[in-house]
Amino acid sequence: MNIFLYDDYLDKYKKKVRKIEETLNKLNLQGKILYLNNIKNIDTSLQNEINSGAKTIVVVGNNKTLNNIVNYLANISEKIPVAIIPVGPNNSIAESLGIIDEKEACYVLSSRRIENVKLITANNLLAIKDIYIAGKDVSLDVDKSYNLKLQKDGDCFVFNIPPKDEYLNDKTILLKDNNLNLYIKIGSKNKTYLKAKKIEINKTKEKAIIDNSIALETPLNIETSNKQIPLIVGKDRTFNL
Amino acid sequence: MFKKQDLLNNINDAETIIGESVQVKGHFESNGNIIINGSLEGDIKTKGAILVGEKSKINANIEAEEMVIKGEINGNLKINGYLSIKELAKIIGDIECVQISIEKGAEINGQVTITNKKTKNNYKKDSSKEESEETPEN
Repeated sequence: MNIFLYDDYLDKYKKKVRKIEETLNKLNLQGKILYLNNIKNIDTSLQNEINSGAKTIVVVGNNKTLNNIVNYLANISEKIPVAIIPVGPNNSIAESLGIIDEKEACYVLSSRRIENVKLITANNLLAIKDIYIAGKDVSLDVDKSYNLKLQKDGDCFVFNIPPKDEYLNDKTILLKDNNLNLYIKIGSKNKTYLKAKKIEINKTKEKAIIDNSIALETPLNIETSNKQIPLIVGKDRTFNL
Repeated sequence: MFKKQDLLNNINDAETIIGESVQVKGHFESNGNIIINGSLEGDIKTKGAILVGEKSKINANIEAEEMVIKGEINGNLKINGYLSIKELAKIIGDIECVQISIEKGAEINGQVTITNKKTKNNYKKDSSKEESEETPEN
């Protein structure tokens, strides 16, 4: 059975949600709907649904919803596939998984193409896609071997799942999935790129943003996690493992 | 089959890029090609090639398979293959490599040693297909 988790903010998108439900019905992908604002204890509810035979968890929401659910699911021993139906803004994770909009997401769910994605940890939080920090004074310790410091204002990303368009157009960069890919952009042409296993963002006044949705204070320890999550991805999404 | 310029031709497929306005300090080790346009202090070791850009300032000992230098380096270089020193390059330190080319205008302050054999990651050599070696000016 599919378990659909609806985020609170979907009240603003009633028409879109109705269309999603129509498409899901057409594709015979009905299931049980749980409204997150009605759930007091998410991990217990998820465990109960899995025990009752849930085959897929479908998150209907955005990056924040998916990150939140994945942080619960990663601690549950049964690994059941997770899908995202993106609604509204802040859906870069869905985009990185090869899902452009809510309609396509329904067809992706129907195709059920599953990829195991290793998560990364940022202090005690799990991140799916990336961690971002901006500023001039950003200083990073990489693999406990060397320190890297920005001398001008820049955008600093640690990608777990690299974006499909924005940065990969640059053919000089070989971004790898399931690695920490550090990418720093200062201005339009000046870029820094390297792979790492462990990155520490040293204390700075700026906050780091996890999966474009959760702000965390620095210092921040980022590393690849041994936790994986089976994600349902678009047909064109391949991982360079 | 190994050709002298293979790694350098593929330098655009860099595993690591250090951009301008980024300062790196410490021990930097890689298995792939590295492009450095920023500043670096410490030491660098790679099984690939290194391209040092015009604006880069490096204060480090370097070990690599191949290397192109356009910027400033203060440190010893151990290159297991071909080293290309471009006209704007400034090097203070000893150089050890298998093949070298030095453009007019480049500055080298140190001892240059050309060795016969690669010390690490020996490739099968086809000497007939390699370009002729140039002798350093100093």
